[in-house]
Amino acid sequence: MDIEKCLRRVEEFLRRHDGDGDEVIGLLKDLYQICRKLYDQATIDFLTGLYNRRAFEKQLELAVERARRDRSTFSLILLDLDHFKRVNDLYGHLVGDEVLRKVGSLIRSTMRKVDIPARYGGEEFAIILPGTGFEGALSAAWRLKKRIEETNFGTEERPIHITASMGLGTYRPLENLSARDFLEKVDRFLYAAKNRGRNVIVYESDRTFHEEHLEGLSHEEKKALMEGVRPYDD
Amino acid sequence: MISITSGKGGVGKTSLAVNLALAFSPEYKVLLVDADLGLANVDIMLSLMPKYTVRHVLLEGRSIREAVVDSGYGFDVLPAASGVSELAQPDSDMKEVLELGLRHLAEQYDLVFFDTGAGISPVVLWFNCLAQWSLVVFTPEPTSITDAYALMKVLYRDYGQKNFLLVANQATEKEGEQYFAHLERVIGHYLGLSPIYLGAVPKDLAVERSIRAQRPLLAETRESKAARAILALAERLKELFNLQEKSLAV
Repeated sequence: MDIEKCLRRVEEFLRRHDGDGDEVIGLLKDLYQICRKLYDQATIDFLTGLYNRRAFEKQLELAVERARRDRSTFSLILLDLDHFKRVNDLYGHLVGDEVLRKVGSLIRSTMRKVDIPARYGGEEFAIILPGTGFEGALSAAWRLKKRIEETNFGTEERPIHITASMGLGTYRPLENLSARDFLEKVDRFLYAAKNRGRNVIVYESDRTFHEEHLEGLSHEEKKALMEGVRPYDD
Repeated sequence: MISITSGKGGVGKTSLAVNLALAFSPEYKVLLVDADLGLANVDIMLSLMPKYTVRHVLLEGRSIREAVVDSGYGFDVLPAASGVSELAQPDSDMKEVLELGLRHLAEQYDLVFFDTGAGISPVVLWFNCLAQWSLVVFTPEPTSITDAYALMKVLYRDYGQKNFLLVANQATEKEGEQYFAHLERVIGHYLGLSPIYLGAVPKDLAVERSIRAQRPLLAETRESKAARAILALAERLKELFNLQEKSLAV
């Protein structure tokens, strides 16, 4: 059974019978609130307030299903904080947790409302960008990476600066990958980013995205295209 | 199913689509779908007055078969609506109805062409993904070349489409070859794909005359420069697909 759907149905029912003063309704209300709390605990990461891994995987499956049916696209960013162990080692786990919480809220405030961010592992985050192709996702990833770099996650007296490595993939409906295979693919990009010395975005197996900000066609591509369109000289 | 598409508007997509459909008829059973759902062109070009269009299928629940009309030139047409903005961006349900209907219809035809709208809106991309092949029309102009490339890039990178056929329109044979060789290099280098070149259709006054007369060029003449070029494109497509069938059979 889809718990979320069921909860919404009960919620709707309660809204319609609000103020009935019926004892059963009152009991149902209590029960609903307990269920909602348990459900949130099961799907929300308590530290950051983002989706947890399990909820993320379900969202990813829904996104893949939708893309296959509609022949639409979406993108996925996997993000891992670089050398996070050092933060824990230097300042202790409480400070480490505080940094994670701040990264969580930074992700939430940087991404759009429709995006679905999650805490995927210890210092690993995942963001689903519905209806977003490669270019859009790359600008979003770039923006996020920059904001993480610019943010002081510590205090004024004891500043903490961190960077992030990212893997970025766009789901191509004609390739028809399963959610699992797609996740593995993007995970390989993240792994490659880590291997390339971190603080980079990797989006294809062998291409690193570092400094340049792409928007649509790159300058190089335009130049390459224009070189061949000189009038034909007989 | 082949989508005829271009990125840039005004490069002669619809005219080419209509004439290609004619070039295959009546030898092959052809359906031409006006895939610019909310801004119909095909019916105008053929001077058809369809009773039902895709609007009646998607918004009023008529069967897709009722909307199919005989073009009068040996092939069938599924007409689009004129100025119906709801159809410019069909929702998920509409796409599902359309896909089911088109797949059902396609069973009765040897070839189905989609004449897509300009641009890279989601519906243009959707039709290109539904078709196994995207036939990309470009003219020898920088904007057209760039738009054609940008369309292929989005189709490949965001949707996984790899099957591209290229046609140079309003271009001499030499220009067409030169521009294709160039596009092929850029596409190969940046996207890692190898598109197939079908040929060029030269500028021809007979094309303009036929458009004004609202009659397809090939119905007027099969002897003008452009008409012969379009017939050659059709031959090339036949070769390509027969070849494929054979290789599949092996």
